[in-house]
Amino acid sequence: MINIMIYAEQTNYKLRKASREILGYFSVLAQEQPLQVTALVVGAECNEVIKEIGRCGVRDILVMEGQEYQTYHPNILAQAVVQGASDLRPDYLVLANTAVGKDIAPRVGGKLGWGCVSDVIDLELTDNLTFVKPIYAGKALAQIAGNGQKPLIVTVRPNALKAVDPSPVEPVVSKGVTPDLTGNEHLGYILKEVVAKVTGKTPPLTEADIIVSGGRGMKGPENFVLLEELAEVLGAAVGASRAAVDAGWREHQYQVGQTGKTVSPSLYIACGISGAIQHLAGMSSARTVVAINKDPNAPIFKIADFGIVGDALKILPILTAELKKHLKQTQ
Amino acid sequence: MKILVLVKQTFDTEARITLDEKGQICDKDVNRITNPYDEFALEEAVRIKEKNGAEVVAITLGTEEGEKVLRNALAMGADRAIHITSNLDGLADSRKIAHYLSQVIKGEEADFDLILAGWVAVDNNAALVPGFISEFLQVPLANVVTKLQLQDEMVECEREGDGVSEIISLKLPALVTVQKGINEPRYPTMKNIMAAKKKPIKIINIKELQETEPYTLVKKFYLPVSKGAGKIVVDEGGNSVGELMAFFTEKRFI
Ligand SMILES: Cc1cc2nc3c(=O)[nH]c(=O)nc-3n(C[C@H](O)[C@H](O)[C@H](O)COP(=O)(O)OP(=O)(O)OC[C@H]3O[C@@H](n4cnc5c(N)ncnc54)[C@H](O)[C@@H]3O)c2cc1C
Ligand SMILES: Nc1ncnc2c1ncn2[C@@H]1O[C@H](COP(=O)(O)O)[C@@H](O)[C@H]1O
Repeated sequence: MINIMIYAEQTNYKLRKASREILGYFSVLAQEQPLQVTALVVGAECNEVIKEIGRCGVRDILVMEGQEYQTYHPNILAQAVVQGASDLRPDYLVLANTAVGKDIAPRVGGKLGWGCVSDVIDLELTDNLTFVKPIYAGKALAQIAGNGQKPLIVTVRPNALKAVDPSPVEPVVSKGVTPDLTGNEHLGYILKEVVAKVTGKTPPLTEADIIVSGGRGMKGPENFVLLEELAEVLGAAVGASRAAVDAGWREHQYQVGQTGKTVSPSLYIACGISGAIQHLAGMSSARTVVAINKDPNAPIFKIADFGIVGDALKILPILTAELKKHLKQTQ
Repeated sequence: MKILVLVKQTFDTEARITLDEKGQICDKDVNRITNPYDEFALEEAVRIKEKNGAEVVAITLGTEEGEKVLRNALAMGADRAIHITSNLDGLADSRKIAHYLSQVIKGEEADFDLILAGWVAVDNNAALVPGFISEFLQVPLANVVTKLQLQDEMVECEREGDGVSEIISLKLPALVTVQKGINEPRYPTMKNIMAAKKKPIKIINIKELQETEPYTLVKKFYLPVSKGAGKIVVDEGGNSVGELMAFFTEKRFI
């Protein structure tokens, strides 16, 4: 029996999509394989998240509830995860490779004496689990395993594990012991202010199912409205190339590529993006790529499933209008 | 004030990746560079030095070719450098790398005030080494920082979360990993490149250090299968949109 503990991350009292994917994936795997799957929830108010975990097919849930988890503090959360992992002694501790997952995974590994493999996109189960992760920005892949001595911490890239249909279960909750941090709450790390950067309307880039992305070929910041309008119809997030970011048309957090975000949406629509290797690095694991570019020799067409040679500024408004029309008809 | 900067040698982002007959990554003709994020860390350290005065020490763990990234660090303004020589490459187990770096830091460099690092290395895309080091050294860590300011015994950081930015204050000594946007790294001048040749690099062979096991093992490498070219349509007056709509329908996006 392989014992798996999944840290179920939440934002605003809701289970994150990236965690939902991991929970669903393992609950389905556990129907056929000797896996014990337990979810770990840490938060100020966990009822909604517990229900959602049940809907992902995971029954056993360890909960640590407390006001100290209201706002994110990496040391406090890491302590709680360490406590949960020490109690449960899993063979694998799995987290989503989100900002929070990345921030706490090595801290937890450091405290527990465990190793870590990050940004995994696939896994295989034989006697043990092995993990696949892209290296050199997706230009190669490595299959990685633990050393067989110690448990392993794994972070999984959002959108990477294939969608499955888990069967909902009634959750069985056990209360975890909250670690005592009295007098040691800050650990030299004091959170002063949190500034929201994204409005609730669009999903975060790394978790978006569809991304509409613009490059230098969009000609100016004012034309990003065309991308936003298309994104709104599709429920997509808007990304950008480095050229567009460096020109100041878009904030850096929206940059896709080797020195930006790595994304794996179902659909990536690249508009006025040439397809430089560093850009492809960030989006080559997208399932389907559509490219609109004036230049028939643009490298982006080499990886596009559907390419349009043409002017993005002219095509985008027509596409948005057609999609709107289509949605009205099918509603 | 003493600032340590962790710099890693990585493959050039333009590098083509191939496998040799043993299935290992072929590194013969690959140009190597300083991990781009580590240049932001270096630049930030040198700016602090220029403003407040500080000693800046660059540290790398890697093969002999790693001297190149240390010379670059010295040319950008670091005062001296430490090279932990080893045949461990850029894909080696992160916890193991952190173990050796921490050991050296805990030794002669234990009086540091600040450690700066890149938030991620572009070869293994791990973002793990700094987190492990912060635990091994028991210092506070702020990750993915886009703004940094020293204040008395503290360093104030603006960091990127998912959809939020956070203002954080760390008590020194501390570790900060930096993100693009924090500064524009300088190009070393010819004069500084020459001067860098005379600056000291201390070499520590990894064998002199206390050993540790790797916690992860690479079973094999492989190259992604290319999907093959898709459909290309030349647009004339918007006629491509109909075909794209058909494609969306076929793929069930709409
Ligand atoms: C270390 C390093 C890291 C990097 N990291 C990144 C990264 O993370 N992300 C990233 O994106 N880049 C990155 N780059 C930069 C990368 O090499 C390219 O310079 C960049 O991706 C180019 O952006 P672009 O495609 O928008 O612009 P360009 O290459 O200038 O391409 C613009 C494209 O738009 C087309 N076009 C023009 N007008 C129109 C129109 N009206 N309609 C349709 N098409 C039009 C043109 O034909 C052209 O193909 C990095 C580079 C280095 C050296
Ligand atoms: N071998 C190394 N030598 C020095 N610094 C390193 C090394 N590996 C990683 N680092 C530092 O840790 C950061 C993150 O690397 P990684 O965890 O490998 O993604 C890098 O940007 C460096 O600052």
